[in-house]
Amino acid sequence: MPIVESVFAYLLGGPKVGGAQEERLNRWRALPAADLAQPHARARYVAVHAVQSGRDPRRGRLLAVAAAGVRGGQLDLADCFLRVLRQDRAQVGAEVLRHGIGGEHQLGGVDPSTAMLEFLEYVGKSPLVTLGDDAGDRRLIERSVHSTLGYPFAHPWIELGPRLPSLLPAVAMLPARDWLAHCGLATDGGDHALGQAVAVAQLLQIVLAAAARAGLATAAQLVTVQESRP
Amino acid sequence: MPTPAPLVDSTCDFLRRHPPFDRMGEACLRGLVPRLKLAYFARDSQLLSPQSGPVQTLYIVQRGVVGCRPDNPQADPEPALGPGELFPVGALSAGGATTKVFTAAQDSFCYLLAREDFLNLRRESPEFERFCTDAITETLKQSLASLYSQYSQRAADQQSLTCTLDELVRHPPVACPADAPLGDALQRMADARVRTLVVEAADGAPVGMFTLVDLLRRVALPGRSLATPLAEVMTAPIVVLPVTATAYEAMHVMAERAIRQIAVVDGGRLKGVVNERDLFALQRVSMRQVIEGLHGARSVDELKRAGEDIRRLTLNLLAQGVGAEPLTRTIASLNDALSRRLLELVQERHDLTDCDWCWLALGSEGRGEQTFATDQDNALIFTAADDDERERHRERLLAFAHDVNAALDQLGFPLCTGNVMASNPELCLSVEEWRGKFLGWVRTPTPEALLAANIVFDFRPLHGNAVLADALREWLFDYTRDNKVFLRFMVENALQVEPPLGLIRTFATDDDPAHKGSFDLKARGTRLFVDAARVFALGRGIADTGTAARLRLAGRALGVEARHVDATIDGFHFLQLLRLRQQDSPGGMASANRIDPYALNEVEQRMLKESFRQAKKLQQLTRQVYLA
Repeated sequence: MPIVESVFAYLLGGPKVGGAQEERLNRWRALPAADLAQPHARARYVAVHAVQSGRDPRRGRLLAVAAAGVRGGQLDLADCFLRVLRQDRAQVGAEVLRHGIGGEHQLGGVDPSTAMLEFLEYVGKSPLVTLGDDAGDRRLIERSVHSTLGYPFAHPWIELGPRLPSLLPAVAMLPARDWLAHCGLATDGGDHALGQAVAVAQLLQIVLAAAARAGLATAAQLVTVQESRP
Repeated sequence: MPTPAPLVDSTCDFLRRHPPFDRMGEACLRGLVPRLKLAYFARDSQLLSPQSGPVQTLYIVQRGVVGCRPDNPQADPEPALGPGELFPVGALSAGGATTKVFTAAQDSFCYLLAREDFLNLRRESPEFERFCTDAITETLKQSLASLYSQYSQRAADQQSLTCTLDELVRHPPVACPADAPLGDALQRMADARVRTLVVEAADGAPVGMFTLVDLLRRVALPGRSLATPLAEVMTAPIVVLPVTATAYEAMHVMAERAIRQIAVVDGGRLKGVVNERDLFALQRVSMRQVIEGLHGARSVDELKRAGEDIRRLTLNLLAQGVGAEPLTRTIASLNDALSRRLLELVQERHDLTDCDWCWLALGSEGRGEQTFATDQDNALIFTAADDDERERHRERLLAFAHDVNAALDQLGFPLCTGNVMASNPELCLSVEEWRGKFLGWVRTPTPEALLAANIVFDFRPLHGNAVLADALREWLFDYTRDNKVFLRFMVENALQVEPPLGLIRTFATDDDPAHKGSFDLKARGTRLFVDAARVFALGRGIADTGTAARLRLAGRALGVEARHVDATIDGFHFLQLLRLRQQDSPGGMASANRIDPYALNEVEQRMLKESFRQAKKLQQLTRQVYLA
């Protein structure tokens, strides 16, 4: 384990998981980093959508995480992910209802640290992709990984929003909530979290095609550079 | 990672809105979802073309529109594909390349399904399988249509190019003397409603032409008077051809000189005008004309002319897009009429009054499946009270048969090299002798004997007392129907030849130096269908001798779905059509049934492969029914 990370881990109180979970986490951490110099046609990306309680990403809690893998430009329906996290008490809010995650669902969800561990194992080291609007999917997931697994989640991220003005100017002019609809991407089937993740993955496909045409052929050229810490 | 249930649900919801998914079982549909991938195609990007090679993926449009057109810049585009539509089912099933170009007409998403999963789905879901079979049948029909249209172009060319201009001139010419004033000439054109006027010299020879274009350029624009003599504004000199010239020469001259009409003269005098359109018009020989010619024929020579008409008519029918089945049936019935008339004519020279006999057509003629290059296969059956009478009758019938065989040869049905003809004493037999012969084949069906017998099993009465033939068949069925031992031999004989489908390349062509790179469409193709159909006919007592009819009746009896039977019969007919076309091509008679499969275009190669697959399926069915 790199020294800087162990120092962080020490300062932050070390991993919050132990036993088999700690072993799984370490196994994940030992995975080789993604090769960001690969062309899109060979790379795997994971489009992700997080559902939170409340509106403020600084304080909201992660209720569900959904993701869809895009490999070689194709969205693989067998490579999708959805976990509803178990909550101590049911959260009620517009966003929660919109995503069809009712109280019963929340209380019957997966233990949060298990859910996040499974999420990491599903993602591997592939770059994560969010819509990159102001909803703060990235911040929420980073914070949840840290708070459940005690591990500072430093990972390559691609935020689509900042890429739109140069790649899809017509879309970039619209407010963020209309991006997907403008591209005809329905967040299908009762607007569940996974539908949203699939729509983000489809927007990623459109962006990847446009990026390749614009000469941005690798993940490295799309990854958001600015560091963000919880 | 199993696909999360909400995604399976929403994907199923989408698929269920479109056929064939709307009728597929729930388990099949849900099992399908994790095998799908979703791909994005930007507007104007190409999804698939013949150059992409063998198709590996099924495409299901999820969003957007995919345009589709044949790989030919002149061809009209086909209906575009919208959400829920799938392609290219035919090429994917056959494992070949597509013949069309698919391009995203809008930004589009398509679900992709790998070929292996597609084939599995066909096995798992009868509804999906049915949808694909129908799609393939549709492709097959489209391909047949394109084959016919190519053919019709060629036939139209041949037709118009070989006839003389005399036949093409239909109206008396509209003409004016060279010294007539322009006003008179225009009046005459207006009265006759023509665009072209021929200008004649005093002796009736055409010297110029005057057209509406000339009127515009040489009269109206320069503002000339209507009193101007015609000679001053006409186009001269003009191209003149005699009535004996062929349409081919006229077409050649028109192309060379870039003109649209030609004056036709008979002995120097104007006969009429032939224009471009006349050359393209198709002169058809009518069926009635041919049949009247046949019945009215009084000699072998006259029949010979009728025989030539039959061939021309057949070509026209092909050109009109008549399918292989009605086409071969027409050839057969016209050839039957021709043979019957010939038998009548020859009979006039032979005294056969006190004898009860029937002329039998054998082989392809017996099945009503002649092609252009069919040699004659025939036999005679007669009754005899005792040995004496039998030999007396035989002697007279052999003499009669000898004359008929020779005359048929003159009519273009070559003598059979294997001597399967009524003039062969082995095939001019009494009812009892025929029974003995058939009994020998049925009881000791050695492979060599069956090879010879196959041709005879397809006998059909053509002239004389048909009851003799029908009774013989009924008698024969009593011995062959459900006769396991005999049928097993027949099947083993039928299964000796396999369709020439290759393991590495698509087709397995012959290796011997004389025929390298080709195969025999009859021996390796149609024969497979014919042999299987015969087994079913003998095993189930089907009196019909035609392969298609036999297969239909057998299919019904075995409970095979009609559309599967139709697909098999389509395969048979495609091979028959290729044979007809091959025999009609220049030099085709020499290599009557041989083709180089790789010289065919892509569509035809695909259909050929499908036909052979059908042959294989039919063989498997035969094996199941009689060898299992």
